[in-house]
Formats: sequence, C-alpha cells, structure tokens
Amino acid sequence: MRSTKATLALVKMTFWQLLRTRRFVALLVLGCIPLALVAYWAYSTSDNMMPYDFYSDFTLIVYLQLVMPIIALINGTALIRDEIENKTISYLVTRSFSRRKLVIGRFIGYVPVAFILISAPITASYLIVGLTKGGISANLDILGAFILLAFIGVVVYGAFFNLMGVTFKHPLMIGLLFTFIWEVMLANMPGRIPYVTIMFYLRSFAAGIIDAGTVPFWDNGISHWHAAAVLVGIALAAVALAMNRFAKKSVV
Amino acid sequence: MIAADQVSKWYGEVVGLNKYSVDIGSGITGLVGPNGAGKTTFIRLLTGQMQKDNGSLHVLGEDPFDNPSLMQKIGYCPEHESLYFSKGAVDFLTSMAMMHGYDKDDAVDRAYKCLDIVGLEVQKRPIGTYSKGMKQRVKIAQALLHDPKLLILDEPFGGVDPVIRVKLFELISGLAKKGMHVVLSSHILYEVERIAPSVVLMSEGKMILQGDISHILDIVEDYTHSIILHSSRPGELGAALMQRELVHGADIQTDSSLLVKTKNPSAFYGALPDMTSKEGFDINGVLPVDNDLQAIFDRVVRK
Repeated sequence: MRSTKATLALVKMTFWQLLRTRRFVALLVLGCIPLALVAYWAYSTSDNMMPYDFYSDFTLIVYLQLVMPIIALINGTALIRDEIENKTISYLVTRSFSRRKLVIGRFIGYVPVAFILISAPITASYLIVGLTKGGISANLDILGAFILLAFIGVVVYGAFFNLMGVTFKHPLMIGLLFTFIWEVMLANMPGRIPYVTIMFYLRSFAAGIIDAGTVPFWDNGISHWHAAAVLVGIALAAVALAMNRFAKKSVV
Repeated sequence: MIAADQVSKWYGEVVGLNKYSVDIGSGITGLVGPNGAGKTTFIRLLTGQMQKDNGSLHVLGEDPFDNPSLMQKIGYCPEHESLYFSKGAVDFLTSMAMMHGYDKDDAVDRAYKCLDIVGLEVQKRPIGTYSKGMKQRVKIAQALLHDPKLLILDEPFGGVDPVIRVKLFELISGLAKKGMHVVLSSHILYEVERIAPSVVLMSEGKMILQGDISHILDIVEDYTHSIILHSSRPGELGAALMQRELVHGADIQTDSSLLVKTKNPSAFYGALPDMTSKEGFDINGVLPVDNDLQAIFDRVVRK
C-alpha cells in the first residue's frame, strides 16, 4: 500500500516535472510549426482535394511519422537517463518503491505529457481544416482515430526510447539514428523489411481505422487488430525489459 | 546495524572496495579516509544505489539493493550537490515525502517540520538559487522526512563554511541523542572527532582501523597537519591564526587560498567558527591536503 502510494507520487512528480521544462515548450513549438502549413493550405488552395483527405495524409506523414517519434524520443530517453546524468536518481532509488516501480512510474508519468504534446497540434490542425473547409463535426471520427493513433504511438515509441535511456549512456544519438534511419528508411523499403519497424504497424493500424486520403493504401495485408496486438506487445516488452535492466543496474 | 563481510566492488578494472569487512554498531560512526578511499562506494552500496560484486552486506539485517522496505528505515544525504533545482524547498521535500507513501497533507507537514529541524527558513525561490549551506540543509532535510532509524550522510560538511559546519554538528548530534543512528563520511579526521565517538578509517578500498577516535588521535598527536583555507583575505587570516598560535606556519597560495600548518588540529578546527562569526573572516572552504591525510593513515597503519 505504502509502495503503491509512493509510486503514484512518482507518477505525479514525473508528469509535472516533464510539463514544466523548457523541453516541453520547445516540443510544443515544434508541434505547432506544421500548423502554419495547414493554415496556408486551408486559406490558399483551391484544388479539388477533399479537406479531410489532406488532413489525414498530412497528419499521418508529418505528425505521426515525424513529430510524434521526436516527442517520444526526447522525453522517453530522458526519463531515467536524465536522472542518472543529473545525479538526482540517488533520491529516487532511496524512496519507498522498487526499481521496477520506479521505471513504470516514470513511464506512466511521461505518457500524458507526450500525449498532450502530439494530440494538441493534431486537434488544432483539424480545427483549422474544419473551420475553413468543411465544418468541424462532420469528420470527428477521423480526429478520434488520429488521437487514438497518437496515444498508441507515444506509448510504443516512449516505451522503446525509455528502454534505450536505461540501456545506453547516450541514448539520444542512438535514438535519432533509430528514428530517422531505421524507422523512416526501413519502413519505406519494399517487401517484408518494413515488418521490423514500429511505423509499419502504426500505419497498418491507421489503414484499418481511417478511410480518408491515402491512409487506406497503407493496408499491408495484416489486420488492424493484428497490428494493434504487435504494437501492444512491443510496448509491454520494452517496458518489461527496461524494468529488468534497471532493477540490476548500478546507477552511479 | 551494518555488517559487511568481504565486500568487493569494481569499476571496470579500478577497485572501489577490496574485500571490505566492517561491523558498525549504534550511535554516530564516522567513515574517514582520503579521496578514493572507498567511502562513497561503501555508502552507495549501503543505500542500494549499487550492487556489490562479491561478499555479503546487511543493513539493519537486510540486503540493501533494491529493497524499498529497508529504504523506509534509512535516510540518505548524498555527497553531490544535485537537487531538483527548479523546485522550491517545500515543494521538493513534499514530493520526496510523498514518494515514501505519505498523503499530501502529511507530506507538507513533514516538509515544514524537517526544514525547521535543519534550521532553514521557508524559501519560495527555487533551490538552484540557494547557497551551498542551504542546499546542504535541504539535502539533510529530505533524508529525515520519514523518521529513519539510520541516517547515512556522505560528506555532509563538504564545502560549507565553518559556522554552518558547527550548526550541522549540533544538528547531527541532536538527532543521535533522539535515538537515530548515524553513519557519516568525511576526509577530515578532526571534523569527525567532534561528533563521532567511533570511526572507521578507510584507505584504497580497505578498512585500516576501526574503533575509538581518541585512540587514533593519540597515534597522530605530534603530526604536523597541512590545511588549505579559502578566503578573500588570506594574508590577514594567516596573520590572525599565527597571532592566536593556532598555526605555526602560513603560506599564501593564491589571492583566495592559504596553506597553514598546525600541530593542534582540534584547537584549529574548533576556532574556525569564531574566526568567521566574531572576527569577520569569510572562510569559504577548509581542505586538508590530501597527501597529508594519507601520511596520517600511513602512520596509523605503521603503529
């Protein structure tokens, strides 16, 4: 009971700690930059493209494939690694929770912060498109689907980058290579190579639940339930591995 | 209270502790040794931050690594200055108390109580703006939040001025009188002398000697101690110390440091707070020359 209350306090502290950093503001700004493109398109274009086709393609390519992994990378790798680098980990490992709970508590605290960072601009771009082109209420299901994808994305990528933060001394550099080489390049290779990327399953899941723009073309022959199961499996495995690694780690 | 048997810890090829065995009982115990002696390594093992490579280690009868129930009985103040600098002291302490399982109201009460114990006025500004002495007190306060049975302090007097040192001595002695057991590390033998009746001398990852501090001080009684003082007025400070016959040699090293030699370190260290508070000298640092401490150790080992 005492340990559970202590872990919940860690979750709360992590949430506010991540929310009150300059990093949060910088990532919020990063997420808002593409809104300028959406606004420019919304006010200037007269092409025949359906507004929610544009919104779906733009959100998938810009937000889910680019901005979201960066948000997860920067926050996820910092969860444990920054505490070790700043030496404040010594206060955390001497509290009334196990090391495994420390890892899961930090991770749970991270999820809402990353979710806010990615879901806010996704919602804002929907509002821009809706207000200028087609009405807000008509395609709320598309917005809901992207919000769900954003949530799953920050959980899966966050769990993976948290594992990197526990494992490597310089996880940011390795994470950047993973994000832009592994995820971007391999996910767009022909054949079965994309199966080894997280993005493949996210796009497959998106293709199963969003019927707008070119999103359905990412149907790769696996059902969206199958894709969702793989994503959940990756997240659970990454969290469990991070917990086990940290449980044996000397932190100084 | 603490039982270590043949404990070893390696950092790659560098030895941190080498088959280290010690039994530490109740009361205040000082771990004394020069830099690199293994004091901090031992303390990190005691507080579950690191895992030993060999041997057995028990704190209050339990293995300390990844042991949250033991952490409820141990308060730990680290050597490093790191804190959550953007938080205020009350906010920081409240979070730390809640992470011991206390409700928010109880945690806030404990935060205020511990700030009172360490004699720090409530500050709204972030910890990052505090002086070194204030940060040191915040660090000690976070170790007291959960009424631990055993308080482990790693270099609690490091870098603080002589007046604050005296206050910390009084604080730690007061906690021990209330029944708390204290283990503290220092590389200044005469600092520990003032509060810890029992000491463990360490060098190069090994225990050199354990026992009553007066016995150890007898061994090094006639030894000349070299100490570096940091002050903005090293010349005047040296002259004042010579005039008081507390030192028999004083060399100005830089614009802000002074090397003094004394055969009476107890009187010398005892007089420093007065030099600061009554005579107005700003003494920002007191550092025994490390080779000097090693020489003391060599002498203790020889005898």
